[in-house]
Amino acid sequence: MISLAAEAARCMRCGNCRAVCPVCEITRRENDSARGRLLRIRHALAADRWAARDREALSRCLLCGRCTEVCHVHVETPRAVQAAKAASGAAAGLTDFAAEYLLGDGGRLETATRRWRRFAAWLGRATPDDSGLRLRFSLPYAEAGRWLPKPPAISYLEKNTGRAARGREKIAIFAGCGAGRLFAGVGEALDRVLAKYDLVAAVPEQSCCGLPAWGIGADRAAKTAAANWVEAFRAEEYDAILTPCASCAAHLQKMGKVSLTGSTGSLGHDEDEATFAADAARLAAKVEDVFAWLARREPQFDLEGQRVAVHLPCHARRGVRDGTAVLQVLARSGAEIVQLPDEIDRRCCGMGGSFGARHPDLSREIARPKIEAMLAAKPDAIVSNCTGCLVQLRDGVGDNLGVPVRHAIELLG
Amino acid sequence: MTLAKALAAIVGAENALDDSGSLAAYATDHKERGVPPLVAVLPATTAEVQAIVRLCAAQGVALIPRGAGTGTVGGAVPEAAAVVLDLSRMNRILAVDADNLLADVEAGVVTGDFQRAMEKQGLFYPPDPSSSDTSTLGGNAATNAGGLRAIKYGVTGDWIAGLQIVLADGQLIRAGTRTRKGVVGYDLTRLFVGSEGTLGVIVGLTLRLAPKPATKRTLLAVFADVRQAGEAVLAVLRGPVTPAAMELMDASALAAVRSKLPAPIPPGHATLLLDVDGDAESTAREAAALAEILAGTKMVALRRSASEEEAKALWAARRAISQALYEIRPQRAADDVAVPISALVELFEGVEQIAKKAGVQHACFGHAGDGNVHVNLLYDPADDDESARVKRAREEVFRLTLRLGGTLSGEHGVGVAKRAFVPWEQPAALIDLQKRLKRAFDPLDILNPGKVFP
Repeated sequence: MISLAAEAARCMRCGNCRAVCPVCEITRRENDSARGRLLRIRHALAADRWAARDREALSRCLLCGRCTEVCHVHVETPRAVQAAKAASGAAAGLTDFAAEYLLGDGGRLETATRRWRRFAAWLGRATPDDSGLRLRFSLPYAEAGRWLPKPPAISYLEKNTGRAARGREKIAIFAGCGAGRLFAGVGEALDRVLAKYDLVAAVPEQSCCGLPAWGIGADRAAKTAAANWVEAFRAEEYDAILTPCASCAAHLQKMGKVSLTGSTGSLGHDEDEATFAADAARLAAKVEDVFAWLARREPQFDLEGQRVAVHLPCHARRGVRDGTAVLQVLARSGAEIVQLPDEIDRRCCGMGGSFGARHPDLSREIARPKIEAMLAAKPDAIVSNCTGCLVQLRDGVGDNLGVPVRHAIELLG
Repeated sequence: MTLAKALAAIVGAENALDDSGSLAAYATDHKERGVPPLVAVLPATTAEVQAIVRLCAAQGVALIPRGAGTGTVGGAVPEAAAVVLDLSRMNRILAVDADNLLADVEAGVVTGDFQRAMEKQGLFYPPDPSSSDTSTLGGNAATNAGGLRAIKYGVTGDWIAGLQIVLADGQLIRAGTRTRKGVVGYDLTRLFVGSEGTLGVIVGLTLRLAPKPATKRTLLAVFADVRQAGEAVLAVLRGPVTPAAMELMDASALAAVRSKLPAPIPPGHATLLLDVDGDAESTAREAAALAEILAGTKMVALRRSASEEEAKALWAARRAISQALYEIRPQRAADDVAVPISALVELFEGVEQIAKKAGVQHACFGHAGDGNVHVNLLYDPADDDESARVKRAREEVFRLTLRLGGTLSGEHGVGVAKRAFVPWEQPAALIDLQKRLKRAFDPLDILNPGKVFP
């Protein structure tokens, strides 16, 4: 395992990252570039002190990984920033942030609660305590007047949890918080897609992959989520564990390797750590982005005549195994995929997990050029395969243009 | 009121950074390390720059202009208590005058963004430093940045018709003209170009443009050694074709990028990479003429691009070199000396001997048409002995360069990294005259104090 200090010190300070960082592109500030973030981390490590301003600055990274692509020495800034968040107690700092935010301006609490009451009540009722949705839709997101989904009366997981697998292959679904609880129709579409291959997938009782917690540096919560996940899927031997969300898939595939902090810590279980880690590794190897799984099978779908703008999530492009499979599957099914200029195509949507909640205005501004380019191409649909990206795209597209924003699996199923 | 608060009152709190973590990001450039500034301030308008300069002048605080911080010699890095003036937010292209082939821009426009914006209109801004995707036009002007196309099109300064400068007292002046010619008064534009922020703050530029060449072709010529490549450089420069780029890589550089080469090249060999640009007809003709000139040299092999893709493949090794060197050793001393073109071979051969004697790995490549060579001495900063050997070897490269009638910096500038060596190149009287000029422009010595001259 590489150390945070060593990773930060690998930066050659050439500044190439400034050209591609979506945050730096807007603010132009050096401290919002990957180079600046790494210099901050080195400074804090040398001083052995993390200031509140450091925690705030670390929250301004989308963890999108575009900087690593143009880096001469491939510094993994997202991993370094995540580890720095964990080391700096950024997760604990969130409480300070929330308190300051709400107490800072009385009007905020009122606006937020007015818009928020129903949704928050739903979050409290229909999602487990460790659901990443609670991080993604925190108060600043609501207060900024951003789009809120209408949660289904009964979610996919409420309806299907406990279902057993049927068919020649033993498939399990890990739905993720977005498809499992928030968006109506995604899980159902996935079921219809699998039905074309005469398969019914098992839906074990499940919660969150832990990515949103990991992203804010809440390593302990992320590890608890990982432990719960392993517990949920270890009981049966599956051929594959499919997830419709590329971000969940990317996180689960890397389970156990996600922290730079060096200490894997206790996973909160009494049993032998080694046995548990072996189970985690075995299960992680079975996790597949559903499109990577589909790409290896005979196509069963007809999207002839459909013009589709695809937002490839950063976790698909730079995280999950065979992450570009969604493009292959759509194209092979006959869809015409809108070609965006490379620089636009590679851009993060600006949601970045909790980034969109913490910095709602900046998040929207980052999304704008890509959404405008997509709309200008007059597609029949805008699709993606990460539910966080879908929230962002839906928010950016608005209601007026009649272009639906959908999960890519919904086109197939 | 504290300095930070006073600056925040001008630019807004979010653009006056004073927390130690943010300031750490402003303590360095690509190569040099200085100290964190007191405040890093990012103005959005010329009026804000003027207010900042007036405030600093009134308080006697040093002010260090900065573009994107891609410099390699510490020109934009504070050495003592100072305010860093980051001009990145001033990034608007204000006007494009296609009739007169001029564009007015703010200093913080990223060079590559500007090039692409002009190309969309069928126009061309040729200066092309390798940092152009990140570096700013203001920073390019302050260092008179060069680049790959200088052989045909010249350097940044050749494309600047005029500059808007905020002087050390906060006054705004415009130097230069909007005409092709102009000889009224001194050529202050050219004085500010390359002055590394010591004479005034460049806030705006009036840039010259050209019609965009429709196409380009690339040729890669292989030679048995650098001496024969050097002779070919002179043959090409005698004409009649002026290439748009002519890059020489010697055996040391080729060894570093072996995996990126379009075809195997034997050890000890050297390559020349040439571009010609223009319309389809003229590039075909010029590429043929160049091939003929090269055929008359001791060239051992020639590859020509038939498409954009092939041109990219021929350039791949050259483009990959900076990255490749980091894979050999974790750090490099990268100097950009220039010599008269007829001395190019002696420089390459001399550097090889110096590196050999010092026992350090090196890589030499450069803009052969300008006699501007990137001398890279590779080392591990954790290895004190190797670092010391590189330090001594670097000084020997400087002595060799000057013996050959060259200059210590062709395009990076002096900053702090080469300051101590300026007296090796320039006599005391010349340095003194320049210091008097500095005092005339900046009597309080608040603009990038201590840079360039020892």
